[in-house]
Amino acid sequence: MIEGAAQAFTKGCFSGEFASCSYACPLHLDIRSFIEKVQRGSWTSAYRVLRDGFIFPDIVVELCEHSCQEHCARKLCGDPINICELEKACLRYVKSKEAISYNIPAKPNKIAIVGAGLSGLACALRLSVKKFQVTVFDSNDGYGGILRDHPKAELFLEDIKRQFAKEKVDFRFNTRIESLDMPEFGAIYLATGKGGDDFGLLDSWNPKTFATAKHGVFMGGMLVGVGLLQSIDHGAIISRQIEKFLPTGTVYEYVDEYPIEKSDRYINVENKEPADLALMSNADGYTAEEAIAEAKRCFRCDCKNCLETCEMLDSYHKIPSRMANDVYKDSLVMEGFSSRVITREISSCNMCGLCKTGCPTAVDISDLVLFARRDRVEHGNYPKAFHDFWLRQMDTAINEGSAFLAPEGHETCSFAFFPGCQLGASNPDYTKESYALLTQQLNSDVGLMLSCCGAPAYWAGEEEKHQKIIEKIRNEWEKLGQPVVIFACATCARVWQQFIPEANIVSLYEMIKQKPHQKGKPFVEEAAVFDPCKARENSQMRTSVRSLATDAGIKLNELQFHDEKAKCCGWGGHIQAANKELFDKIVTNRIEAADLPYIVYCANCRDVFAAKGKRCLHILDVVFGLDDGSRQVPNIKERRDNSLKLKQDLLKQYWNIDYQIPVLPGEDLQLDIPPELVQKMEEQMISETTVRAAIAHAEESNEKMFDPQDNTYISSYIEGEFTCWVRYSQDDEGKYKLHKVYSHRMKFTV
Amino acid sequence: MSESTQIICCKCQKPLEMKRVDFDYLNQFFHTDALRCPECGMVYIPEDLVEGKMAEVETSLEDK
Repeated sequence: MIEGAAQAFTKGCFSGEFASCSYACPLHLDIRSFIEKVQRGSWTSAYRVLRDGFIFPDIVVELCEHSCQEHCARKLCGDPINICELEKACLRYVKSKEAISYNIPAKPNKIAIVGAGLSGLACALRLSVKKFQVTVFDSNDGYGGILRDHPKAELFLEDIKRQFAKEKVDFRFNTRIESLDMPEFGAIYLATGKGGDDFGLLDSWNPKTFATAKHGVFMGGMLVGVGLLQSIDHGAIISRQIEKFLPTGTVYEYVDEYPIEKSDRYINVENKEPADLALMSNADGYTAEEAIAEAKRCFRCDCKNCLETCEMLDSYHKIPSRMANDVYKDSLVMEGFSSRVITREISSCNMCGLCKTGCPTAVDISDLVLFARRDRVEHGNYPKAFHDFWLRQMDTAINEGSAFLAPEGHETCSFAFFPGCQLGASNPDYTKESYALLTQQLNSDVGLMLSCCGAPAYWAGEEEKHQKIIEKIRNEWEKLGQPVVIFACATCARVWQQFIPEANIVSLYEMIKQKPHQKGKPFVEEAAVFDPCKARENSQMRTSVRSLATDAGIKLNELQFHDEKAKCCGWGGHIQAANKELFDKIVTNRIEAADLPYIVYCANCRDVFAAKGKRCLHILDVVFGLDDGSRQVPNIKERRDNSLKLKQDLLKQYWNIDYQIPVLPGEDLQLDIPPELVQKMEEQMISETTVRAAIAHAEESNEKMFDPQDNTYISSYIEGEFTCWVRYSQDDEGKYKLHKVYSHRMKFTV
Repeated sequence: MSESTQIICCKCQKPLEMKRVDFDYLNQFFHTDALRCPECGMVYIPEDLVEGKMAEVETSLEDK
């Protein structure tokens, strides 16, 4: 993987970076950190943050115009945080402003600073704290530069003295430097202030490196035309430039980590409570309690929108940029030497794109996840077991289960119904009734496209396989004369929109709504609509379903998340094999969102919820009066049987074609599976067809073992990426009974 | 190994014995002792091993 390829997906994400206010601050104070300390009443810690940012806190707080407040997110819903007064409060309530000295070995490098104004002093302090040997020259008789004439000069000079109190700096006042030829110094910072002596170097000053034409001489501050506070920033930057310069004599470009553009990035304040500015009882400033109250209004802006809306992101608690880095790092893993760290996370994403809808910069984690899955598939190191079950199910749907037919006697048609593989698998009547209605409404000018749309291959990162499916579907659609395609499933519609955009599409529910039809049977008086995540961008489908339910007499309620903010039911992205715990949590959260029966219009949503006992009606249950929402979910084998029987019935009824359903190994065995094992098989996604095949194989080949303790036979059977074990017995009448069933992903060598 | 060791291979009519079995998963190779037929090598892996240790190893090989 090329470095940066994964990171490109999360480039816009600013989670973990400073808040907007800090980018607006000329000295880039970590305001969020400062305020967090004030919120706790920890004035000492807050003061340390101020000193780290401002270098001379008393001076900066006094002189700063606090443009940070103009970029406060609170401003979006009221008054900004009064950061200025909080800083003043901190200076007032901190017990000690005494400087801290670190026990670092002295460095041999000598650095000269010409000019003892704020910029030179800032540079001198930063370097002397790191134990460089610093000499400061100034033609005046003391430090302070232009501040020496300020009305508050005394306060300012006291702050300077305080900050330098524990550092050894050689101040040489009343010393005018005539020449910069000072070979005893490894570097020189020329900070002579506005209109000061530039020694003829100003024209050669490079604003990207802060260096000049003279080797080892740097220049900055008011001498190069910046304001007073920015000159302090220059001093700090140049101290770092000098540090980098000293070992090799090479000048590096300075990377601006605080571009002003970032000061206009805001977190989402939609759900935040408004709060009034804290009262100031005394004109001199906040009391400690008032300051703490004011600090508590701060949102401490750090965008976590995606983590707050997505269970997956929340459960791993990794910000998007870290996810992207981990995707890249995982691509560098050498088998046997290091381990991957993000396989399960990228396999736990429903790929619903909800993160994008709440992201201020529209970062879509599902794009990153798809990229990661595809990369892993391409390099052959993605656990195939995570998607094997659905890929095999898809294979059935695109092979045995598929049919592309124009109405009988026609080569082409104006419309074609694409019900999706899961609609008929859940209940064949959904598809049969819909097709019958469409045939009637469209005067039989509607063909049939029975197939899977390829979403399982797309989600599995199997790009090549997915492309082949799309090509096949496109070819069949073209052969049918490019009819308008009618969809019952929002996922299928989305896949078509994305990969066969030339097709005109319409939702089944829109078709039903548009034409006169018998009113449905409501079954329930009141229900909540659960929008499938893939209908988020399909307002036509969402509106039609609501209309059909309301027409049938159902009082509809909206869930907290609906329409454009619809959440995935848990099915999307096929995460169940990789992270069953999360899958269960998501499904539970969804069904507990309202204590009402749900109206859904995705067969997967219906079956996922119904399997957990939620009363759930597909809108087609209502339209055709099929079921009251309590129908049992078909098991894996029944889903396959339903799909193929549906094809058989439709082909016979509309085309008079006799379709023979392929007979699978062991299908005719008389087999008793106890209910607890039926449940276990569903949970572990072991199909009854696999169990039957395993027993049939064992009986035919005699490749089985016998346990005399309980008179059972044991055999294993490999299907796809799984090895399935069965322990069974046979009674005198030849009937089999399953005693145990389990499966694993590892392979063993016989 | 919690299950009986008196299990018999139906093909060879021999009781299974504890022997080395080689496994692989995600390009990682390892081995352990398990019951297998001394004649044809047919392997038996009991449920508790599959749902216990093996599941743990599978999970750890998939991700840290």
